[in-house]
Amino acid sequence: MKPHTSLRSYPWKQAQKTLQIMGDRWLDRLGNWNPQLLREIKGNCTQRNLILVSLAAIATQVIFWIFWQNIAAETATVRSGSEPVYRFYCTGLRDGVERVLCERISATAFAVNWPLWWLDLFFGLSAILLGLLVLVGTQALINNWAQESKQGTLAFIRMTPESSDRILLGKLLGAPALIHWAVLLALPLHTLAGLQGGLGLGGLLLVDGVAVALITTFYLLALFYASTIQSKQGVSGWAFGLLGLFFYFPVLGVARAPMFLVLPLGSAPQLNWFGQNVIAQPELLAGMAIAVLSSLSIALWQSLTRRFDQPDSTFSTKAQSYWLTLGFNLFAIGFFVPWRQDQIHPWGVVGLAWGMVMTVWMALLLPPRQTLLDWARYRHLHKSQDVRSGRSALKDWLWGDNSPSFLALLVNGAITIALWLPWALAFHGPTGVLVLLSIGCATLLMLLYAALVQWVLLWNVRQPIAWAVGLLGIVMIGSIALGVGLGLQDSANFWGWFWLMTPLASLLPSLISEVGNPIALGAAGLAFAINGLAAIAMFCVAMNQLDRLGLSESAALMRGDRLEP
Amino acid sequence: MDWAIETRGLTKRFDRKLAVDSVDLQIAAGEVYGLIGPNGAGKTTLIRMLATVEKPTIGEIFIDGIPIDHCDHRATLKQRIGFLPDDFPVYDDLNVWDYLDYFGRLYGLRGTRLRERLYDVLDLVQLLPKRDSPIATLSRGMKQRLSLARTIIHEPILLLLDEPVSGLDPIARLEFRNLIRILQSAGMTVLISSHVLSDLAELCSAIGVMELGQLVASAPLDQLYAQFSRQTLVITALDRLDELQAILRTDRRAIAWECNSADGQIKVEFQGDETDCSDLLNELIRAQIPVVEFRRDRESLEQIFLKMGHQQAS
Repeated sequence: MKPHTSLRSYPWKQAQKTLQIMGDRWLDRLGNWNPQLLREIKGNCTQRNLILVSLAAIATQVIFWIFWQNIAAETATVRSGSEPVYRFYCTGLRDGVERVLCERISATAFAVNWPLWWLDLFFGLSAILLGLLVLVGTQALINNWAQESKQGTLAFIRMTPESSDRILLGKLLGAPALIHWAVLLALPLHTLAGLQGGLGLGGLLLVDGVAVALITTFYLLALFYASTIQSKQGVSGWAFGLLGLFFYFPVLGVARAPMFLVLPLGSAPQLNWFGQNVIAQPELLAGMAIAVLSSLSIALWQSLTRRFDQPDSTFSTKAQSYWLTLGFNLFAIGFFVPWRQDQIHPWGVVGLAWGMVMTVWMALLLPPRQTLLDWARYRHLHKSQDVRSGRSALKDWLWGDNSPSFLALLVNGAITIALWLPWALAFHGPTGVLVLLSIGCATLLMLLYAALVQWVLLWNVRQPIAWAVGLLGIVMIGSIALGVGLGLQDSANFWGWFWLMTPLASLLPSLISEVGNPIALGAAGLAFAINGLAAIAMFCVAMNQLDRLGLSESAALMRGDRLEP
Repeated sequence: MDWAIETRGLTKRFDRKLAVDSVDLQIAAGEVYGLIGPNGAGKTTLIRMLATVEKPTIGEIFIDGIPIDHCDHRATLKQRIGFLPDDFPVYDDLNVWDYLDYFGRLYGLRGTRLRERLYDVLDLVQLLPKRDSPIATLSRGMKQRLSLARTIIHEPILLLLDEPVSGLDPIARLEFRNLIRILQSAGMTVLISSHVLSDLAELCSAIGVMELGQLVASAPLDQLYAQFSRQTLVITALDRLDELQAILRTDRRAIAWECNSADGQIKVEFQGDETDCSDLLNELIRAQIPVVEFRRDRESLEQIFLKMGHQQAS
């Protein structure tokens, strides 16, 4: 019997061997294309892990399918006699509040709107898959990066001639490889649901394109976050994922509206961009989403590769910040061209959005403490940064990677005002002026905060970043409390204008109805002056501290400063 | 002369503390250069800057005459450098083969060349039998050898080793020394920092001493011995030690000696070269002193180091 058994098992072994050879060849090709990806796959995708994840993914899909089938069965079920029944997945007439009156196809069943049922299944499945990637995928990335930083192995990878682009790509695709495998297993159902839901191949590709762009942005944000933290990756990885979900759910809401426009389910909210209602045109909205997310991803990618190659550098160059400011403003202007009086008031939105962008620049352009100290101490040695030459010094402040960021922030504010100026002039009225006022206010305020943060980072304390964040928080909350205390609602109240010194300054004009009120305008001018003076004073304090720390050892001794700050 | 490594005014500050202070270092191609100095002297920072892991605050580094921060040559320079830090971190989730395969690919090795190289380095570090073992199961000595294999997988011409034998047992240290000799014979330039000066004395052709961030001495090992080492002659005779001492008294090259009558041994502080030693031995034989041992001893590197006024912490 034995020879017979071995003969029977021979083809199986042969097939197994052939499969293994094919698998090895495929992995070899993958490794030739991206060694980092192969390394991550080998590290994560052990046989055991793959089997567990595959079983979990299939089981989850089966449960999800049964659950969704039940919804259809519930929709079709006729329970009572003659009273009208309204159900979401029914077909039939709509009433005044956009409910669907169920249409009977037999004595025991209502007609089910199958395309809608499939479309919502597609949406639900996509939401779960994306949520999984946002929560678990980002966590895998953060942990992977943090572990490499902690072990010190990132330095070895950096030392190799392999480009940072390929390494980061390998990490993005490979660190969450198991989650990607689970998502791949769900793609057949996802595709079937999309096609049955009436999206068509083009629609499906467009929706998946948005999903890929969205998840790429989240992944890059996760890597960006991981590259800024030093430890406690276990907690912070999950924290990032949960925060990601928090931002992801509103995106779902926005995404669902245009998707359901393919079916006659009533009107969706309006969002105009250069005169086009983008929500009414799902293709345009998807294209815009892909374009915006891709731009954000490119900016993040450049920051990440830059930090990967030079860990002591700022996240972004000053030149990049100018270009991105230009792009952001041109994009933002689109929402207010052509201007219609019934639209949302732009001053608050533009000012607040600009304030947020400035906060991002403040963080991305802030040189690390050591870089600043070295710049202050040795800038005289670099010809291109010769402080004795006013022109070179200006160039250094405008473009240099190691110099403080104040001038660059100011230039970003100036670019924004310059771009909104023609728009503001076109209105010849308070609306345009108020937008410029909001932008100027946000710029001045962020300059003040940037100087404050820079100053705190130069302190000789154990955790300067924690101090800077803490102090900034106190100043922000304190100023808001002061604003509340001094009175906001009454625009005639002189002190109410001191809100201009708070982070909500840019929102203020939208809360004031009497723009022409002379008391209010006078107070606004005074508040601006105080804001500007505070920014200049803080800048001087920070620069004085920097100059002191940049003294040579002998000069410091002559001044009586301690050598060790 | 084109140096394998040359630094000019190399400086690194951490906060306002100078970790490396204006170091001008030159290492010739094919040399094994030992870097010694107390903890905190700046050895590791200097090596990390040479390995491009750390960026200098100011100063220049040239590898084979090419400035290290030259963008056009960065990839070429990276191919030439191999760096082994003192903690040699590895990936515990990979096996030995996959770990080296990964780094080989990162250095651009592909196909047959990659496989050949993997077998070569595994054979060199004697880990071929462990090629399929998970890294987590290796001993410290094996991990250290694996890290060395990773360091040389791309055939660098400059090897930077920071405390490579720390924490290794004597046999592992011996194996490591042998490996370095093999690599040196293959033409590699090696820079080693270590507190085990006896190892450096065996391996190195030149020594640099660092203190408080500065390179306070840098010279070929022979020159150091010639300049600082006291030569001692150990002479053992069966008897007639008095006559032996009488001969020494008439010889100006014998500066001082110490006689141990019980062992029949005299240790002579002797100033002279090999010919002088030979002359003295001839004289003793002519005087029919029953000499059973006559050898030259010189002070160890550690003794020289201390004599130079430095304090070696180990």
